[in-house]
Amino acid sequence: MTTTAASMDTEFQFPEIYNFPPFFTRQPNDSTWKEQRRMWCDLILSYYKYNNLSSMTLAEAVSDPLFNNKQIHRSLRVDTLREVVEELVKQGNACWTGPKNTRDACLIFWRKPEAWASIIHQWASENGMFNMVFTFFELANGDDTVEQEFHGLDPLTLRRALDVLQGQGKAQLFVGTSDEDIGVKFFHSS
Amino acid sequence: MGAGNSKAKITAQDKAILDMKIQRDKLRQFQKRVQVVLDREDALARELLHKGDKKRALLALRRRKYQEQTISKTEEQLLNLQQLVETIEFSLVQRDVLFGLEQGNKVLTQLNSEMRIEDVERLAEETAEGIAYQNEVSNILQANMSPEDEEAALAELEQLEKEESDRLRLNLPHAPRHSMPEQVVEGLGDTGDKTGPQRHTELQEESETDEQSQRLRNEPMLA
Repeated sequence: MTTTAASMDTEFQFPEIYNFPPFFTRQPNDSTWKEQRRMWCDLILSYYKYNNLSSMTLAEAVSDPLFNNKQIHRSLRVDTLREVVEELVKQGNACWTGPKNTRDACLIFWRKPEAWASIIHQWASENGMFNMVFTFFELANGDDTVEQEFHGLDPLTLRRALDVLQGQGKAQLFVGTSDEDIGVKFFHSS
Repeated sequence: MGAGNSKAKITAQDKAILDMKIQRDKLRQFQKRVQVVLDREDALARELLHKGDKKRALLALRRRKYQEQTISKTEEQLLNLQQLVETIEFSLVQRDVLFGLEQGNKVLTQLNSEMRIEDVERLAEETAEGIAYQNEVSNILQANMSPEDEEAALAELEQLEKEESDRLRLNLPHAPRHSMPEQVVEGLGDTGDKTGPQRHTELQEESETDEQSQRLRNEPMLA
């Protein structure tokens, strides 16, 4: 883990391995690759957490500083990145977005939807929000949640988190008369 | 089944509130959009003025004015909508409170009906009757007894009492059985040595023969 608790205006501190050229090339040895992949996973999650990012378009991402170290003139190949993201998806820390089976874009969960779910439920509990109706927009962008960690959360991650709560019987998603916009009602528990 | 169950938790009111909140969100987003346009017009007016195009700058400022009006109108509508939502939510809470009060009242009424005054009175009456009946029974039993039976019963009672007092006396610590002056003269140490073993034998003898114990018991009285 990198020190993400540093003040907001300081740049993300890359780990030492980031300046190690072979880190950007997929290692042929299987166990080495596994270790390399694990380090990339950690790096992506902490980078996304530090910058509060969520979505990634693989073809564009490879030119981001995260995957493109200009100082050592190395960058990660898209297919290698795809393999790394595949691993993240397997861990539940990412999900593919966009058209089916294209695997060109994804959503990174630096905090898993399950964890977001309990944070949101905790908030609902502490603020007497049970049995109240909320719009998704209100939760992520409303005035009541400005202080909350989940303020500004991207809609898809929010949806995943609320799906988890619904599965636990702690929330119910539903649509109004328009059938377009989804709302949610929180409950104490099932 | 679980999904069906939780679906039931969503009422028509919930849907109505959601609809209103969605409208509110849309209004808010619209407001943001207008604000962006407003800021652009403002920047444009400054730029035009800088270039010396007064006429178009004025036009831009007029448009900005119009946008400002739009924003304040939406602000009003937002407030109305928000108030309506809050009123509805509060009414829902009030309804729940009323329901709670109703339930509590029902329970209280039911409990009160379960312990009516007549029942309580009857119960007290029945208890009194039972006591009276018991007294009557013992009176009748006494009256039915012959004088001999009564005498025998009394004798038996006496016997029992005697046995009881004997048993009690056995358990009591023994009072000094020797003459008081003797004890005082001889001193404490001396009597302690003598009475110790003596007392033991006395205890054994006492339980063996009644006559002997009677005599021993009388001894201190004589002295």
